[in-house]
Amino acid sequence: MADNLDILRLQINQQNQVLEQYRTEMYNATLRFNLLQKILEDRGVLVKGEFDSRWPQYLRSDIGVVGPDGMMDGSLKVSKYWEKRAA
Amino acid sequence: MRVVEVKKIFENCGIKFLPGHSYVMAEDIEAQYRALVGDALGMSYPIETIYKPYKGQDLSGKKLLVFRTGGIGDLCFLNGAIRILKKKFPTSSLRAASACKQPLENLTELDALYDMPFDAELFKETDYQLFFQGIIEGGSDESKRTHAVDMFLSYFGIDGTHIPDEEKVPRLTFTKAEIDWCQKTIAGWGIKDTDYVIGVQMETSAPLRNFPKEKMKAFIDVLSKEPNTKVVVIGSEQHDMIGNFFKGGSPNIFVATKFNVRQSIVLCTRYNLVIAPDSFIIQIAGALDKPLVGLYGPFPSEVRMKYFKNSIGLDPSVPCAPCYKHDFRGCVKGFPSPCFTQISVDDVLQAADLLKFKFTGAHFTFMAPLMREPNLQEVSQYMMGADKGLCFFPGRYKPTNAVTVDPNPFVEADINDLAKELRRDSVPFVLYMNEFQPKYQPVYANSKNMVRPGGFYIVYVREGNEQFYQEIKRDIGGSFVLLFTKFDPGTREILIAGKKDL
Repeated sequence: MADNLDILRLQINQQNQVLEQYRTEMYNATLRFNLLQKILEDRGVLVKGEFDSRWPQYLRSDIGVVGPDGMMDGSLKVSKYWEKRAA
Repeated sequence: MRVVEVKKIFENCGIKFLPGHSYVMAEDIEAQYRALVGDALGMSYPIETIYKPYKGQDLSGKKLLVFRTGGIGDLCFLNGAIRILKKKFPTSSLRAASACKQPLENLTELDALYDMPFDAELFKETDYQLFFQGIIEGGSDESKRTHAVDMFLSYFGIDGTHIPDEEKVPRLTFTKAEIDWCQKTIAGWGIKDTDYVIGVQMETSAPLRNFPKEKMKAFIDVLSKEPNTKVVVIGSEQHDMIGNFFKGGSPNIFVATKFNVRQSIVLCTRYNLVIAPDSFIIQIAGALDKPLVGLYGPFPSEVRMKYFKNSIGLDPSVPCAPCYKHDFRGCVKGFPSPCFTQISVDDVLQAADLLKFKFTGAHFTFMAPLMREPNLQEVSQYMMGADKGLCFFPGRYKPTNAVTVDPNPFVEADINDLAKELRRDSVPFVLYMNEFQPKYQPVYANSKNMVRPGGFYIVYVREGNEQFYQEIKRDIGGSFVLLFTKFDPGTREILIAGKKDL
């Protein structure tokens, strides 16, 4: 019985993870869809493939963090606690 | 949290549930038990009916039970808090219960350690109880500024500000059998005592905090090619596949996925260096004072590893980070979390090298090209004749009479932040080295303007080619009188010096 319980818990966990992935994908899809709809309403026309190629830029202007190269704008912060504590 | 009555005997995960007893468990666990062994369970009621919360009362001669369902790393924070509490009330009797109790095992301050779910009788035996869920997950403003141990201490009613940092670090105790097992296992892999062993944790429990796999593979590969260096990739059984992907065909990489949590903790005693994302291995390595590189994204390294010696935390500085998300799902902006694009493989490798150098005095061999000192003898007369000049991007090379400017955070340059204003408007000489990436174009252009009339501008490129040499010579010749030009096709070094007209 113990084995059954473990398997069931594992399955529930896995199903939850899959569900969460779907939720993330749905969130992204909703975001893309809303943007697409907005562009279509503004311009009435869209060149084929244009949206996909420019998606990272839309993301950048809309969310403001992901650059055209898919990288985030920012820099690296390095903590050096060991230095402080050596003194 | 619920208290559930048991009517029939059953067993799960090594815990025996006896009829006539009540057990304390989380809501989701109760739901799972009801689905499978529903006929063995009776009434259940909320824990508040029997819970006597501890709110900082005097514990002298009293018994306290602290419990928490999970989070191995979070239990490490509890480790420090329990020790401090026992020091404050030496006559108290402390007990703990958790589903991830491994970091608390063998702790002398604890009188007893229980698994979860546990018998509700424990509530009657103890004077106070403290339930630890939701303190650091809650996302309160305080939890964003305060180290997790300080959060736990404040929950115990203890002011952590006067307690020395060393006390707040978790302390692990191992039995002799455990240490023997560790030595046997390491020897079984063929790792010698003289080898430099690096432990790398593959994944955290939350996808949000996972470091991108391709970058992890890249730095593991580089490290495993070092002489006398072994890499152990740490994970649980589900990471077996990804562990073998990291291993590839390398004999220097070992996949440690067949061990339980306690065994993984014990193995940490052998590692010379630990590289890990925001997970429990960070806390364990910190507790053992191991040199430690933390790869942080959604959480700032400060609230997790502030009290550890020898640790370097790498944080991205982006508008949305730290986001303090405690979810078990990926980042909404993409998976893996895009903030990790700021932490490059080079950053991790250089941080690792910095720590290795600090403790062994030796550098990794992959650092050799970076450490190599440029040969500037032919132009040193221009630098030596003048008082203090500027040296841009020197790597680890520091001219004696120059202020060094380098945005690389691992180089001990005088100026690390290029956004900071340079005090001098014009200097006797500028030495510009090696960095001709597009993002440094403005720096190159501005540095040319910093030379005062009669001063010198010197360019050194380590890996150049003929075409680049001609281009850069033409460019510098436009604003300076060329004094010295050299391109060596053998070493691929370019060296150009120009003088600004009076």
